[in-house]
Amino acid sequence: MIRLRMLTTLVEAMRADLRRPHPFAYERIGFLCCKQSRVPSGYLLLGYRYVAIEDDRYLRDKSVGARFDATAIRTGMQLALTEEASVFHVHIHEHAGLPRMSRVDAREMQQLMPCFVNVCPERLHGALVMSVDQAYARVWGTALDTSGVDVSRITSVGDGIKVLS
Amino acid sequence: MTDQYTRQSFLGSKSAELLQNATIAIVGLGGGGSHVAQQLAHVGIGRVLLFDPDRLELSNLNRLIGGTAADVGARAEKVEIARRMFVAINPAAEVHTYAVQWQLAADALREADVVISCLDSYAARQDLEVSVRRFLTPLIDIGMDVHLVNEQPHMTGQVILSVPGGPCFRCLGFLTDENLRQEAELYGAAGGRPQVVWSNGVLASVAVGLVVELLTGWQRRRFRAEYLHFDANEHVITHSPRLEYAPKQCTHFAADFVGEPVL
Amino acid sequence: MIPEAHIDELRALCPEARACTEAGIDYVFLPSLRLPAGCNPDVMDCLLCMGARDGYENRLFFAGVANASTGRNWNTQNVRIFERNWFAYSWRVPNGLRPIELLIGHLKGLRL
Repeated sequence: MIRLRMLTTLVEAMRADLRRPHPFAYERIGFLCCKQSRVPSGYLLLGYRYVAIEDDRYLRDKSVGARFDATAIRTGMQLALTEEASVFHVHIHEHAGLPRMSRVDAREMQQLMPCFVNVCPERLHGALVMSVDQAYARVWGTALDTSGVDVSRITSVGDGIKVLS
Repeated sequence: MTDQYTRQSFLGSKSAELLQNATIAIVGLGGGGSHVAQQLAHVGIGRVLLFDPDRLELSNLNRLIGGTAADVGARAEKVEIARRMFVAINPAAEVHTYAVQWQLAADALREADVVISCLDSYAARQDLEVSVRRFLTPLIDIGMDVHLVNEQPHMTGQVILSVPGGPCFRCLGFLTDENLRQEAELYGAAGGRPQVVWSNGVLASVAVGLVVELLTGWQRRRFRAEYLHFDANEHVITHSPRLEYAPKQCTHFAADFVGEPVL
Repeated sequence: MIPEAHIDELRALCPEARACTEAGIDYVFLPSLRLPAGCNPDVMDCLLCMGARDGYENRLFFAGVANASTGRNWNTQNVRIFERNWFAYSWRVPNGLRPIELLIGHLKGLRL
């Protein structure tokens, strides 16, 4: 079982950033850094920092919601290495309810996440898709199936405990 | 919602599912923790983690919920008594027992959505709070004491909620260097603390109410801390004024105090 | 924060000594500190708390119970700091000493 837990203040900050309009991209993307712990039932991932991708790191590509350049990818990988973090690619779907990865999301993450795992194999890395009130996440890791594994439980802690997944 | 929980449907249409899918840890299954365990079972918590290294003794029987005279004779583990009680009320629940100090099963504690501390020393509470804060887990502490006021016994207790990001036990003035020092000086001389079942029950009930509120949000209240004071002589629970004066954000735990440290 | 000069002083006994802080309390981590002769084990990770903690003005925590010829009251067992369990025996060293004197003062309890 894989759990992802974050402070509500971090979730709200991520949502606020991801919902900002971009000059030309339809969506925004960021990286969520997590600390990873082993627990008897599997893994616990603790979100602690969100890093937004700067406006000028996006590439014009109308076939996808957003695409970022190699520098942005290196930023994510650098976070994984220097902070010994599990890194999540994060974006938002503007609707209420449980989000899912689109086919494009799934294809892109299936290509991107193994690169993160290669660079930092001792950690899980993944994709977090947020909606206005819930979230979905999938992780990749050396000990997991190559297609990744869904995060079973995503919660935020602050004014109460919100189950996002 | 099953028939079992229809009477608490006012907690919200998803409340039964939220409670069923939650994991709650109880550290200390004595007088306070045993009450908490019983109520969490009744309210429908689906997964509990129980930590206590002790076995039942005769002097516990005045207050340990679920404990029997036969358990005393058998020197039953307190976690086993709680487990037995829990599954008798809610057979579908998943109950994990750790008949050791929580520090020796600390990785299991991390799975909890909420930890309830029913420990009896400030030092133990200090360590527990530090550890659970790392794993972004709300902590509810309950405790009672009896002291003499003008040679008369005065019974008081507290229920405190410490949420990562919000004021901690030190921010709330509950943990201080002075009370830790005094406790250390009394080490070995304190003897068994006075404890009675009805006060423990009151405190445990409030704690369970906070757990349910944290998980279901049924009151739609925004709160990042709670400090309730129980005057058991007057039978009154009040908000401690310390809550009002505590900083809204913790001044002892840094914002990046997350996860296992690298020493 | 513990001044770097204090850590440097402690490195005379523990080359890998480093400062660390948890919940507002400063410690010095002393990995693989050599313990006084006659101790078993003779090397152990230790944690020096140079300020007040749990009613002591300062304290030396050990990664385990160090068996020594001197019988000590290990009254602190499995205290959790930095997500590890630590042990300490009942022993008081006055404040105001230099860091190296403080550490030696604590280790004295294990010496014959």
